[in-house]
Amino acid sequence: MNEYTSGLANLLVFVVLLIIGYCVGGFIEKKHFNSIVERENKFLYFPVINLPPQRLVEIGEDLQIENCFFVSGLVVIGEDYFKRILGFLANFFGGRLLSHESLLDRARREAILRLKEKAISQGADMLVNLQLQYLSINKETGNQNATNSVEIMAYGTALKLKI
Amino acid sequence: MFITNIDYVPGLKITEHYGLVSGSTVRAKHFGKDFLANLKNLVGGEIKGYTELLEEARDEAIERMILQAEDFGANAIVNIRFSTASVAQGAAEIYVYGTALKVS
Repeated sequence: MNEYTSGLANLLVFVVLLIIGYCVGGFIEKKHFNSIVERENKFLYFPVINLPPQRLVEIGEDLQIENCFFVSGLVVIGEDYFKRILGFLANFFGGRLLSHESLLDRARREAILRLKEKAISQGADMLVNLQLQYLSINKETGNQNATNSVEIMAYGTALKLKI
Repeated sequence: MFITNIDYVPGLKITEHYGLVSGSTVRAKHFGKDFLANLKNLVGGEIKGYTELLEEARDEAIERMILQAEDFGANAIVNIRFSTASVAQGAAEIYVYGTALKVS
């Protein structure tokens, strides 16, 4: 009888955590996406490309570069409880993992936005040779309490143009 | 000091080059920050403690690379790249490398 109730309590805790993860995590993700879209529209005027500047000159763009400097933006994003369970299930069934696609998408866009904000605040006019880098933090297999989070860093060369 | 990840410094001429320079740092998680990160893991979202930690680590790696380049007498580092690896449980190495140049 006692074992039965403790098993039930464990299940109850699991379900409550799952619901909290789904509701609060979903709310946070939605809010984050809204702010990303808003800021992306705000910084639409700032060109970011992943070509080196000599390619632009070859195309025929007239670039008069006054100054250049290095900028980077980074973000660490963790998954919520609901996503973690989904990821766990995906180990058995395979297939697309939509929950983690959206997680990586918003991390990447946030990193690029931070890069843009930093470049603009330092007086740049455009950013060339954008590169992205990933670092997966503490992904231990077999540990139930492992914090699965990913770091994304965007970096590039900011250019100041002569006008 | 000019630092770029393209292979030259726009508008300046390369007069001398000094080969590869690099900087690295290995960082472990902070216990307090890790506790917060675990709480945060319930609801997801950005983990600010880790963002700060890694930002600091990257800056330190770049700082070390710059010191090495200054020893050579260089005034620019071009074509810099980052490389990362998880070396132990909860620790990561950040390595940055590039070519040191003298430009004028």
